[in-house]
Amino acid sequence: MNTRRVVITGMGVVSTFGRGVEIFWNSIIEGKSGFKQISLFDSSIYRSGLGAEVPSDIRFNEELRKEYGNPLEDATFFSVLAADEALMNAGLGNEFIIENQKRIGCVIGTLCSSSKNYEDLGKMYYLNELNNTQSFDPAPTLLSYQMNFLCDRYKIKGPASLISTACSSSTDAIGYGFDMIRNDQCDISLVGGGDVISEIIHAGFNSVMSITKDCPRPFDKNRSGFAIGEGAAIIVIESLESAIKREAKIYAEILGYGLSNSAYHLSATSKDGTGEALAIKRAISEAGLVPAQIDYVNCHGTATFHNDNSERMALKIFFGDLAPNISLNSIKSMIGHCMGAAGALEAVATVKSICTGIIPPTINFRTPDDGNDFDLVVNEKREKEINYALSNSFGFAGNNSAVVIGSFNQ
Amino acid sequence: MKETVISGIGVICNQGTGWNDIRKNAIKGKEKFEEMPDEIAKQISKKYKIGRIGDYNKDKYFNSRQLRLVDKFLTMSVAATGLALEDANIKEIENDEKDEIATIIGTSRPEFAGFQRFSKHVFLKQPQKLNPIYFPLLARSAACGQIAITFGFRGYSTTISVNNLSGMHSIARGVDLIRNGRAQIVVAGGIESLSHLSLAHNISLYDKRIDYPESKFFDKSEGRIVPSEGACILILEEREHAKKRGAKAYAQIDSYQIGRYEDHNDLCDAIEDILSLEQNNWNDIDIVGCSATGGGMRHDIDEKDALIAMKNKTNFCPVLSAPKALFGEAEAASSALQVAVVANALANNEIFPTPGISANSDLPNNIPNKVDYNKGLTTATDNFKNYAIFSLSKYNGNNMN
Repeated sequence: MNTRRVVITGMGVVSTFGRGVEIFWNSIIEGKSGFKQISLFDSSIYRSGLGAEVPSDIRFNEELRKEYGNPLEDATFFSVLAADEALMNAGLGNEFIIENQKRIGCVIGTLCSSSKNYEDLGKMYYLNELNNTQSFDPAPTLLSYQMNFLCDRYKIKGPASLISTACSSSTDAIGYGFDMIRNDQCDISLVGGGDVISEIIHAGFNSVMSITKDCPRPFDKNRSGFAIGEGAAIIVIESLESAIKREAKIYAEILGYGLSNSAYHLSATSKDGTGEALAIKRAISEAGLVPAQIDYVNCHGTATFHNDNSERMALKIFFGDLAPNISLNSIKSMIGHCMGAAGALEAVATVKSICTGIIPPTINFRTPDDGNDFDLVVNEKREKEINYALSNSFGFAGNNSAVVIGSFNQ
Repeated sequence: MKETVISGIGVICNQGTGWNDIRKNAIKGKEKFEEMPDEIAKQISKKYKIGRIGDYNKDKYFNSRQLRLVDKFLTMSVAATGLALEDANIKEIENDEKDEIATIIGTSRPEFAGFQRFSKHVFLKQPQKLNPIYFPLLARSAACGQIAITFGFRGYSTTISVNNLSGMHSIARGVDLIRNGRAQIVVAGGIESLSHLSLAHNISLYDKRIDYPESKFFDKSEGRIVPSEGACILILEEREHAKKRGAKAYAQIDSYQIGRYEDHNDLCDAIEDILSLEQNNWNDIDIVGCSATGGGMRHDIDEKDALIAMKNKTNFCPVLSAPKALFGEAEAASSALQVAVVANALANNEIFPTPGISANSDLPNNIPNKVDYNKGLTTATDNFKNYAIFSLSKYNGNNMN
């Protein structure tokens, strides 16, 4: 396999706490919660209306939207805000991008991007308004709109693609971008993605009883589910040669990733964790590491009964007796489950943990679950030197993604 | 670097079920399109066409209860995968090997039927009437997941959605996985499923081109796009793996490029980059499988202009094939079908005609009496400035080093 090294040189975030990586990071290490009753639609009719929305002074800021090219869809708006921050953070200006446009790629992962637009389309259809005379702009009704918009805005001409593996989408996108650089198809790639709280998806997760009425308590014995969040994280990844040539600041290195399918059920994670463990094993093996070298796992940790069980079993299969040495957390307890964007937001948190030696807490934790022997970081942040970390994402249709990120050593 | 061959093709489309039957129909160059369903015809016209799939072997994989609970895009994906595995002569697979088989599927909007059904109760503010069983069918990754579940494949798995290029993108990802040693067998391809909502959506997406009386391929004017559905699944296999098990293969995938373009010059650059990397010339290309829709959309014109520019530069034009003339615009399935059509041409020296190329076209419409096709390209563009180009060559198992 090609051994071109891939490093992280820029990051940008929009989250329930606002715009910017620092606001996001400072909020999660302080253990802040972003949950309240969803205001985007009438959430009172659902079993639970809890969610973690992006602040309305961002979402409904028309001036800001115009400044960023007037994206016609919210996930894309969040994504372009995050991408601008990431590019600035990486020191990549327009001139450089245009000069190198065929060597810069973009891989976006999302689940609900454009969903509001096709919900509107669905309403038109039910009202019998969708016909030859009532046309609409189809572009923002397509899932690829987010990726197309970013590529158009930055004049990217390298390899570009869009992954939609439900809640593992943006971790998967990081892996795809990593491969593109390793395979010398490009030198730099924007990876990650944005996602939104969609009423249809909120309704769906309520129908399968996955949304908590209380608050998300990942890995707690009395956990009762998650609440949907939204936002975006875009990461600039780059070949080491390119980063050195540009004298870019290097935050961390992507060492490997793995995917698998549990081949078990369309919506449930596996009962024994073996399918999820395959992705973890592939990621760590590709990174050339042994289990004892992993210091920390940023878990998928949705706080549903089954997901947390499967993930813990998968980790146990892989780490075995090393479990007490492995620190785990789930930032979904604070930012919500950001669907397709969850993996990218969690990857940013993982990089920050590596850079600062701080693990954000899993908040709302009260009662330890039976049989847990991992080092859960709960309620308070923890200081720990992290050389190698794993970030997991699992999604509907059995998709599992894991990425290994390490501190950068020349 | 590990090389990739196509060792199986499984297709369900308007021209039939199973690649051999489809070949027999397609070689005749006859369209097999149907009238619009009544509900949509009311909005446009009954005389315009769609490409619908017929019967396929879904009962082999799903019992009657399961069939009531899943959507067509899942059953056709599984059935097409079964056909592809049979075609590749992959029968008994050990569990260890199943853990390494990758599933990479491209889709565009197959979930619209499920969305149509599920969203109704949300629009009507009746959450208590939502049936949770149908919720997972809103995920476009469900087809990929169902393939993995049915066949027990636990290798690398992903779903890609880049409009009508999705099928080619999934094949590209599969080629990468083989190149990088992550898989020896990859189930890759594209699927698309028509629904009333997707047809109504297509009216705007295709800029009312479904409202034209006839398709015009490589033409200067606008024509008809025929919305279609289907599944095209390819078995991609690492060359030495295929050789070891004595598999027949249709073609070898030599290289590909995906990316963004501004105008046809970028597409020419991409073609020339691929050829230069392979130390080939445009004159070495025997066949190009094109993404032309027959509608004369902006991206059709870009593709046509790129082919004309390549012809003008070299005074040479390979045989052109536009599979959508026979199969319709089945989005993700169509781009995978383009690869299948070119692979088939290289394996069987068989070119499917393209009805609908007018005398007004700047490109030739002749299929020469050539008996040996060795090298092919596929070119594909979408309406949002994405492109994908594949380069394939004849697979000669006997001459493999």
